[in-house]
Amino acid sequence: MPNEKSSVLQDSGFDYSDITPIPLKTIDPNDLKTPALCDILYSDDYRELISLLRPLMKANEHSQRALYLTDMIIERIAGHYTVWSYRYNILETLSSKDKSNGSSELTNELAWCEEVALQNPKNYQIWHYRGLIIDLLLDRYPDQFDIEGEYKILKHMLNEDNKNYHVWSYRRLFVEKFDLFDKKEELQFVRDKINEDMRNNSAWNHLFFLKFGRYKLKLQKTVDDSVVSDEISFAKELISKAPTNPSSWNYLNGIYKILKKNIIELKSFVTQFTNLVYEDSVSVYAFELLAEIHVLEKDLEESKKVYELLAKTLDPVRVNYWEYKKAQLTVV
Amino acid sequence: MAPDTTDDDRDKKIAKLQFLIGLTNLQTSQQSKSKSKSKSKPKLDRFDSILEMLETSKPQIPQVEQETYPSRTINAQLQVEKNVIGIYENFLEKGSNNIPEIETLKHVQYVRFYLQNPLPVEMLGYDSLHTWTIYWLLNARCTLGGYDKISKVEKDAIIDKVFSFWMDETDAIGGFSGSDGEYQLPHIASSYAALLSLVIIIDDDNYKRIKKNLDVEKIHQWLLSLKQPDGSFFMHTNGETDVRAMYCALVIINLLGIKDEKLTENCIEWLVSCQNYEGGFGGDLMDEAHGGYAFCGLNALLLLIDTPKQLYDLIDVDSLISWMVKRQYGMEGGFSGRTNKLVDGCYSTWVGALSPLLEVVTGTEELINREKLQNYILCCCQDPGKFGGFKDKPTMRCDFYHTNYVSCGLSFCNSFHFIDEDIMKEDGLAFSFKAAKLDDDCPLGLVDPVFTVPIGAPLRFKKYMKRE
Ligand SMILES: [Zn+2]
Repeated sequence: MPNEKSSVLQDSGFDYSDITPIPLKTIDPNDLKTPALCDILYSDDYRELISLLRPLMKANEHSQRALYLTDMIIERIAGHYTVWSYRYNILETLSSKDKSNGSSELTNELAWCEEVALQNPKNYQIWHYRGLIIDLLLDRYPDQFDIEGEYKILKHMLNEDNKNYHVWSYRRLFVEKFDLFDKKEELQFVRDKINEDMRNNSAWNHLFFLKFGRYKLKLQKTVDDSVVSDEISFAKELISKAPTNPSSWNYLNGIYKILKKNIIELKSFVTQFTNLVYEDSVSVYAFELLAEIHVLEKDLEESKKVYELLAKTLDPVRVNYWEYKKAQLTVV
Repeated sequence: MAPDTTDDDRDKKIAKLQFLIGLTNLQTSQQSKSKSKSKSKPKLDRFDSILEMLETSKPQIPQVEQETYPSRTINAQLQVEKNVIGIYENFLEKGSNNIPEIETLKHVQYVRFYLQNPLPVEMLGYDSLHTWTIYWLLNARCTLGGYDKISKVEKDAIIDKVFSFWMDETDAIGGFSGSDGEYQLPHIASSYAALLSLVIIIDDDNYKRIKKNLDVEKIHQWLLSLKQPDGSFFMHTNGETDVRAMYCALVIINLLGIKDEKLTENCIEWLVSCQNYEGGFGGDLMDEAHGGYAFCGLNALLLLIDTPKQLYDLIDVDSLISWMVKRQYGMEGGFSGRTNKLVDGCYSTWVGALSPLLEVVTGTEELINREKLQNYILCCCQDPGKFGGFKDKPTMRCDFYHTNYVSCGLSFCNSFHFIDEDIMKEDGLAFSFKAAKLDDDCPLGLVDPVFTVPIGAPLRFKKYMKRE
C-alpha cells in the first residue's frame, strides 16, 4: 500500500506489507459507451481489503491476519460466501488439536458469529457457518461445547424477529442434532412463543416438528396416542380463542393428514364455528374443513353448498379456488 | 380535460363517505364511468375491481381477537391493511381516470439506467450477487417488453461480463461465482443466474461463442462434487443445502442437457419430503412452508418428471393448491410468502407462478385471483413519482430483485399457460410451457413459469447447445 494513503488496516496490529496485492479492476464512471452491467464503484477501503485477501486465498494462507481480513470484509458485506468459506478453512487450521489454543479459537468464533448475526438478521450464510463451527468443536473438543450458549443466542434472535426463517431452521437442525425433541425447555420455549403470538406460524411449525418430526423423519414408527390427543386439544383450544387463525387450523389439519386420521371425527368441533357466523370473524378454514368432511360422508350436495357459500359470500377473493373445489366434486 | 372542480370535489367526498360507512359504491362507480367516456375498458374494470375488493373483504383479524390477544403479527398486519386501504381509497377518490396503469416506460428507464451505469458504493452488498443483478435487470427489461430490443453491443458485453465470473475451482470442475475477480468459489445459484442471462440473449450470431466458452463437462463434474447421498446439493464448497440449490442445479442440468442418473439420484425423494404439513414446501425437511421454496420445490419436480399427471403420485397436489390460494389476501390483493406473514410484491412470482403451473396440472382455468393481484402490483408496488422500479410494499424502496419478480408477476396476471404436447414428448415437460396474453393490449412480455425468462427462451437455448 502506498504510504501516503491511510490504510483501513493500519490499526489492525498485523503486518501485510509482504503481500503483493491483486487489485480489483478499475471502473471509469465516465465511460458512457460500454454498459457497466452492475460494476460497483467500490470504496478504497474495500478495494484494499479485497486486493490483499485474494493473494492470501491464492496462497491458502490460514493465519490470524487472514482471519482478521475476512472479519473486515464480512463486516462490509455479510453475503460474501467465498469469504465465509475461506474463513471456515482458516478456522479449521487454527483450531487443530496440535495448537495450544485450538479450542478457544472455536469458542471465540461462536461469540463472533453472534455479533455478526445480530447485525445481519436476514443473512443466509451465518447460521450454516455456525453449524459448521459447532461440528468442528464437537469433533475436536466436545467438552468445550456449551449447549446453553445456543439457547441464549437463539432466544435473543427469536425475540428480535419471532419469525426469522433462518434462525428457526437452525433451531430445528439443532434439536435434531442433539435429540432435544422431548426436552422440557424446548417445548416450553415454543409454547411460550405461540402463547405470546398465536399467529406465529414459525413457532407452530417448530412445535409440529418437535411432536411429529421423529415420525416423519422415520426415526420413530408411531406417535404416542397421548401426544396426538394432547396436540389435537391444544390446537382446538387455540382455534376456539381465535377461530380465523390459519396457523392453528393448519396444525390441526396437519396432524390428521400426517397420521391419516379420519376428519369426520372433527365434525362437531368444526360446526361450532360454521353455525355461528360472527360479523367479522367467519372462519373460512372451518368451512373448508366442513366441506371436506361432507365429501367423506359422501354428501356431495352439502359439500357443494359450502363451496358456493365460500365463493359467493364468505371468501370471494378465492372464488376461482372454491369453484374449482366444487367442480372437483362431480369428478369424484 | 378540465372538469368542474367543485362537482368533482363533491363527488370525491360522496365516494369517500359512502365508502366509509360501508355502503355499496355502485352509484359512484357508475358516475365515474359516465364521466370518463374516453377511458379504455381495462381502466374502468380496475376501478370496479378495487372497489369490489374493498367492499367484500374483511380485515384479516377480527376486532375481538385484536383486543383480546394483541400480538406482533396483528400489529404488523393492521398496519399494512391501513396503508394499503389508504392507497386504494385515494385512487378511488381520484376517479377512474387516475387508476394507475403499468408505467412501462418509467420501469424500462430504471432498468436501463442500472444496466448502463456503474452502481454506487452504497450497493456494495451486490458484490456477491453480480450474476443475479445482471439476470434481474435483463429479465425485467424483457418482461417489460424489451426482449427483442437488446442490441448486439449489449449482448456482447453481457457475454463478456457473465464469463468474467467463470471460475475453475480445479482443473476438473468449475462454475460461475457471484463476486468480482479471481479466486472466488463457484456457486449454484450464481451459476443459475449466469446461465439464465445467457438463455435470454443467445441468438444465431453469438451461440457459437457462448458454446465455446461454456465448459459443460466441468459444470457437470462440479455439480456431481456438490451432490449429497440424500439427493440434495450443496450450494457451494462449505455451503448449505436447500430446495433452492436443488432447483437451481436442476435448471442448469436441464439447460445444458447433462441429466444423468448420478445427478438426479434421490432428488425426487428428497424434494417430496420437503412438502410440509401445510401443503407448501420448506427449504429443508420439516422447515416452514414458504413461497420461495414452494416455487423451487414444485419447479424442481417439474424438471424431473415427464408428464404433469405424475405429480399426483409424488406430492399432495390438493394441499399445495389449498396452501397457495391462501397466500392471497382479500383486502390487499397481493400474496404473502407464509401463513400469517405480510403481503410482498415478489411473491407475485414465487406464488404467482405456481398458479399457472397448477392450472396446467389440474386442467383448471384459473386458481388464484389475477385481477386482484394486479391491483396490488399496480397500486402498491410502483412509485407514484417519476422513478421506476417495483417494490415489496408501499413503505419500501424499489430494488432490482423486486423489479424483476414483480414484473414477472404482472405478466402472469395478464396471461395463461398451456403445454405443447409435442415439445413435452421431445424435450421434456419443463421446456413445454407456452403462454398467451389475456389482453392483447398488455405491453408485457410472456414469462416462462419454470425458468422465469421469456417464454420459449429455454427451449431455444437447449437447441442452440445441441447445434454445431
Ligand atoms: Zn419481497
